[in-house]
Amino acid sequence: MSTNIIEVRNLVKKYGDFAAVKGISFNVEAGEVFGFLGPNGAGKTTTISILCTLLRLTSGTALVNGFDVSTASMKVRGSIGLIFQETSLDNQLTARENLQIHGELYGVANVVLRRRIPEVLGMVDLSEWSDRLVGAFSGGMKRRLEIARGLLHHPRILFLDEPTLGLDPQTRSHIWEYILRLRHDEGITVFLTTHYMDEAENCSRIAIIDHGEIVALDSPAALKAMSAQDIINLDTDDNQLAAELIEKRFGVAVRMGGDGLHFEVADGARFIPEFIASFSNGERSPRILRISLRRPTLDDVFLKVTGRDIRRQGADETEGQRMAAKLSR
Amino acid sequence: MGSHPASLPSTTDIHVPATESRIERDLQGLATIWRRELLHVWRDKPRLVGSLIQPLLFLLIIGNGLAPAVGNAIGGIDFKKFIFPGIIAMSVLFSSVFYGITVVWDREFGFLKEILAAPVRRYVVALGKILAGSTIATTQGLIVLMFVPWLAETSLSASVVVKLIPFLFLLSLVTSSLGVTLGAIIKSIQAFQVMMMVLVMPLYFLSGAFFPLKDLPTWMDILSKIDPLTYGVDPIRQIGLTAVLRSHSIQVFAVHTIGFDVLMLCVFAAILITWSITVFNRL
Ligand SMILES: Nc1ncnc2c1ncn2[C@@H]1O[C@H](COP(=O)(O)OP(=O)(O)OP(=O)(O)O)[C@@H](O)[C@H]1O
Ligand SMILES: [Mg+2]
Repeated sequence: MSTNIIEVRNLVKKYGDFAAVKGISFNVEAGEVFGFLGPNGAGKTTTISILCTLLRLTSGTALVNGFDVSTASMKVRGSIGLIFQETSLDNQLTARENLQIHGELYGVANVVLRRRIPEVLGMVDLSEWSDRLVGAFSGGMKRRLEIARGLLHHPRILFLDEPTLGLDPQTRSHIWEYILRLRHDEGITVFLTTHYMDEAENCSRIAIIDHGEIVALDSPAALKAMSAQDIINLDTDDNQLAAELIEKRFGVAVRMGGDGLHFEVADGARFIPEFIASFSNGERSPRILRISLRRPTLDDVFLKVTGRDIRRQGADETEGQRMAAKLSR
Repeated sequence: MGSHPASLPSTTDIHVPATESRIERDLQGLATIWRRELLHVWRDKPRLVGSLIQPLLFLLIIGNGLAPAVGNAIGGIDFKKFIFPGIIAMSVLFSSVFYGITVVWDREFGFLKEILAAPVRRYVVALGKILAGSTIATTQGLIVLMFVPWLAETSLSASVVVKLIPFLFLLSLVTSSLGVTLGAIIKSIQAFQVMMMVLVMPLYFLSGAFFPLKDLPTWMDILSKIDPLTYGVDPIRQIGLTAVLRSHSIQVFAVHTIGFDVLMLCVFAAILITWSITVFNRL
């Protein structure tokens, strides 16, 4: 039996005339790792902020742990842990003091805190850093401390807004190990946003959000099965001509990419020998330089449902936009 | 991943603060926010010392610089004695309005979000900040007061100091709520500093800290009456000068009765605290 720990119905958020979230509905089941995947400005932070009662919704309903975010905000807040997109630690205090203050703000008794603080610091491997000022921590250590802080008061749901943003690949994978392990050990539900496809693969289910709307929602495997086709990548000495021939002979849509042609076929392994034979038989066929086959990834799913490539939005551009946004605030 | 505790506590010991009443939770939140602010000040001792230097310099330089020129023209007492209550009020004003910048910093460094997302009512957050600012400003006023016998050549009895404490605190409450509210509204540090100069100087100069509020042009008289600091300087001067004034009538210096001053300070505090809570509720 599965129970919904988050229930969202027709959620709308408008900033003036601009609708950042356009009537989305979804459920999150207890115990799952639920991912919100979308490009910059899709409405991920807006949705998380509403679920955490930091923003008021314009219309619709949202229940978190059975509490209505509009009417029971204190109850919602007490039952969730939250890790923001940007750091929110007190740099002038030590790791332990940050946790102590958090615990007190969340009404955790001192006797519990005395045991729990070393415990969560241990979970994120920061025990030796307990009494250091947080200002001296690296980005990855700050993130880990924030995860520890988010878990301190035994929340039933942990919300993470882009938990690995701006971290190096190794630290990113470490953070993921923590998230998955903690979810297992503490038995909590995880709701996170990301725009990294490889991270989304770790989720039990993913909602792909674009321009404030959910365009797909399922498990990573099911999403990939949605485009049940294999993807062929082909490079020839005349790609223009090759594309025309393929479209005519096989009736598939061909995309022109930087690394040659891409098209989808049902059974790639069987298709390739057939294709090569037919191509070399033709009178004026282009010469094949390279051909490869791959299973569909979430990138392909994303491309399919949004019509855009999430990877186009490079990390640099993202950071630049964030800095600009931060400065203009 | 390396070593980690094999057995973690089960979620059955989830902490639910059900036994505590709402008031208890609010007081706990208030105490936590207050304590964090004081911890900050304690960690940042250069700032603490630095903010004492300005009022002390004022007392030393302006007091001694103007004393020969002014002589005993104001109420028949030495100018240094006349202005020390104003300098005490000034240190309270500067310290507590400047304290408002901590809200801007908290926003800048993200910690404000942690507080705003916590299950703590917003009025508790606002009050915690204001009370911490008042505590810091009152303490600072008292420290400056310790230098007065020496710098203003005035005797101060312990009983006078004790009597001054509630007035310093009441004034701090007014000025801290002003600082904290402005800190919550103004989002950049530069803008906050500009606002300080634009707002704090007139508040200070119109309060009677530097010259008696007698025979002023009408516009100045009106402005000084709506300046909350006027009602802080007045009782501090009346009480602070009791030792000096044995031979003089206190009425020479008094602008209002002390009771009226207290009433006005309470009115200002009520208005500004309400405003502050309203602003925090919208954050
Ligand atoms: N306070 C605001 N006022 C006006 N518009 C806003 C505000 N906050 C966000 N928006 C807009 O709402 C949209 C969604 O923003 P949101 O921060 O939710 O996106 P996001 O998916 O979290 O993006 P990112 O990956 O960059 O964090 C964006 O177009 C953004 O410009
Ligand atoms: Mg975001």
